[in-house]
Amino acid sequence: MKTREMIERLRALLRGPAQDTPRKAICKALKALKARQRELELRLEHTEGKRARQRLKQKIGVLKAQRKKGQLRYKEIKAG
Amino acid sequence: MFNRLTLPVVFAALAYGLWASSTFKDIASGVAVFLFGMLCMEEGFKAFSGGTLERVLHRSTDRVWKSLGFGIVTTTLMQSSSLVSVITISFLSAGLIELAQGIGIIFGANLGTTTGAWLIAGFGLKVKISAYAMPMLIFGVLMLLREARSSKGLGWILVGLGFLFLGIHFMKEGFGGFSDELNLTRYAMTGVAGLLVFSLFGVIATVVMQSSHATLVLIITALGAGQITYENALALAVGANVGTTITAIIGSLGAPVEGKRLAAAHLVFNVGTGLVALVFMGAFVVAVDAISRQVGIPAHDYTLKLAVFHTLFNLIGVALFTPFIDRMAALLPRVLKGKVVTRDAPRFLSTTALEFPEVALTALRRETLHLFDNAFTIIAHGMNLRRSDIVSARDLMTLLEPQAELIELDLDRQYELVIKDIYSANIEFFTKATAKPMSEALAARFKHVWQANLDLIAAIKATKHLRKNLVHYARSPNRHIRKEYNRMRINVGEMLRELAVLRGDDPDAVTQLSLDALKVHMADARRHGHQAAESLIRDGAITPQMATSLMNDSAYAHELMTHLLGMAESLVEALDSPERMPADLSLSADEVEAVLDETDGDHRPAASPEGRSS
Repeated sequence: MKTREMIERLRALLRGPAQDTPRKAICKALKALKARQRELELRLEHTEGKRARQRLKQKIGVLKAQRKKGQLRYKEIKAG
Repeated sequence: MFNRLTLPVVFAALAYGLWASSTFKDIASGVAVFLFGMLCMEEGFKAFSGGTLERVLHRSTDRVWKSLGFGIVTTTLMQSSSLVSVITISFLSAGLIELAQGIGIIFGANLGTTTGAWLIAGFGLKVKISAYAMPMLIFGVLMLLREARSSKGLGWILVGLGFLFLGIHFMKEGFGGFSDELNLTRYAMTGVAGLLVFSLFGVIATVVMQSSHATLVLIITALGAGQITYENALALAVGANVGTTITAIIGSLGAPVEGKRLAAAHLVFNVGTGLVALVFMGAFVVAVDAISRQVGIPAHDYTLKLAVFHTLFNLIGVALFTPFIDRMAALLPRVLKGKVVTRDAPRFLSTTALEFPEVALTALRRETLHLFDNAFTIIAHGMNLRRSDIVSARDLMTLLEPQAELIELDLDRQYELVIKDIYSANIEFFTKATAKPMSEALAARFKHVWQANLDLIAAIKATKHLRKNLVHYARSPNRHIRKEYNRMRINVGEMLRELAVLRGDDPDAVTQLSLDALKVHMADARRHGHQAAESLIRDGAITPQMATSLMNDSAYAHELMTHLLGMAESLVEALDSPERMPADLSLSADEVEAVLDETDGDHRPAASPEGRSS
C-alpha cells in the first residue's frame, strides 16, 4: 500500500463514517419510517383491546405524518 | 509520621547527592527532564481526546484481540502505558467497554511499552540524541504559541519528545562520567539473591518515578555505560515491569470498582509475568542469546539484548495470560465487589473520566439514565403503580374502574436515598467537566444532558404535588372522580412504559422522531382531561372542590409528562451519532394535533358521567 493511500485510510478512520448528503439521509429515513409503519400495522392486526389499538393507531398516524413531511422535504431538496 | 518524614528525607538525600557529585546531578536531572517530557507528551495526547481518541478506542476494542492490538499500537505511539491505562480505566468506569476488553488493552500496553527499550537501546544510545532534541523543542514551543487546540497538542508532543531525548542525553552523560569516579559493578550481585534484590530495586525505582519507561531508560543507559551487569539489568527490568502496576493502582483509586478490577488484573499479569521471568531466568537468557544471534545483534551488545529480553518475557506473559482473560473478567467482580449501600450512589462518574471530555459526556449521560431508572420507580409508586405493571404487557386500562391499590411511599425519603446523591454528583461532575476547554458542539451536548437532569427532578416534584390528591381520589367512592384520577395514572404509566421501551432500545435507533408518538400521547391526555373536567362539572357529577383538584392535578400530570418527554428529548439531543435520522421530520405541535384529530374520531365517545369509556 502506498504511503499516501495509508495516510488517507488512517484519516478516514479518525474522521469516522462519511456523512450522508441531505437527500440520502431523507431517503434512508423514509425507508426506515416505512418499515416501522409496516411493522406496527402488522402488530395492529394482531392486537386486541381498544386502548392498545388506539395507541398503535396513533403511532402509525405519527409515522404517516413524518413520512409525508419527509416526502415533501425530499421533493424540495430534489428541486434544489 | 512516616509520610510526613519521607519527603524531607528524600529531598535532603537528593540535595546531598546533587551537591556531592556532578555526575549524580546529571543523572538525576536527566530523569527529571525525561519525566517532564513524558508529562508534556501526555498533555499533548489529551488535546486529541475530544472525540478522536475515544472514537478510535471505542471502535478498536470490541473484541479481545482488537483490544490487545489497540494496547500495543497506542502505547507504541504514545510511549506511555500509564496514559493508556488511565484512558482504559476511564472508559471502563464510564461503561464504554467491558472488563475483558479493558484487560486486553492493558496486556497489549505491556507489550507496546517494550518498544521503548528498542528505541532507546537501538537509537538513543547509538546516536547523539540531544541533536534531535533541540529542533523538536524549538518547533514544539512555536506550535504551543498557536491558538488551535490541535496545534497546541502537537506542540506538547514535540516538546515532550524533545525533553525525552534531552533526558536520555543527560542520563547517558551522567553514567559516562560516573565510570571515571565510581564503578557500580562492584555492587553487582549474582545468583538468586541478585535477581531478587535487583528486581526489588526495579520495583522501588518505578514506584518512585511512576514510570517504568524512565526506569528502563535508566537501566539501559547504566548498562550501556557498563555501570551495572547484564544479569542485574535483566532483574531490574523485571522489577520495573512489576512496579509500573502502581501507576494503574493509583489511577484506579478515584475510579469506581470497575477501575479497581482492571488495576487488579494489571497487577496479576505483571506479577505473574515477573515471576515466570525470574523462575525461568536461565532459559530466558539462553533464548535471548539465540534470538539475538538470529537477528544479528552482536553478543556484546547487552542493551539491545536487554530489549530482546524485555519484549520476550512480556510476549510470553501475554501468551500465557490471554487465554484466561474471560475467566479473569468473570472472577474479578466476585473478588472485588461493589459497595453495598442503602443509599444509591453514582456508578459511572469518576475523576479519570473527567480527563477526557467525550468520556465525561458518556459517563454523565449514563449516570443520568441511572437517575432516570431510580426516578422511574418513584414516579410509578407515586402514581400507585408497580414497576412490574408498567414494564409488563399488562393492559393498564384494567386499572380505570377499580379503587387504586395504595402503594406506601415516603417520597422525600426516597428522594434522599436514591436521587439526591446521584443528582448532586451529576451537578459536580457537569460543572467540573464543562470547566475544561472543549468544542461548542460538545459543550451543547453537555448542556442537553444537564437539562435532562433538571427535567427529571422537576418530574419528581410534579409527582409529589400530584400524589397528594391522587392517593385520596383514586380510591374515592365517587366513580367519576376516581376514573379521572385513574386515567391520569394510566397516562403517566403508559408514558413511563414507552420511555422504558426506548431506554432498552439501541441508542442509535432512538431519535427525535421516536419521541413524536409521546407528544401525541400527551396531547391526547390533555385534550381528554379538559373535556372530561368540563363535562363532569357541567353535569354536577363531581363537587366544585373535586373539580378544582382535578383541574390542578391535570396540570401537574401534564407537567410531569412534559418533563419526562423533555428529559427524553435532551438525552436524544446529547447523542452524536452520524447515522441519526434528520430531526427536521419531527412533528410540530399543530401536526401532533392533526394526527390526534385523525385517529381520535372513531374511538372517543363524548364524555358523559355515565357513558364514558376509554
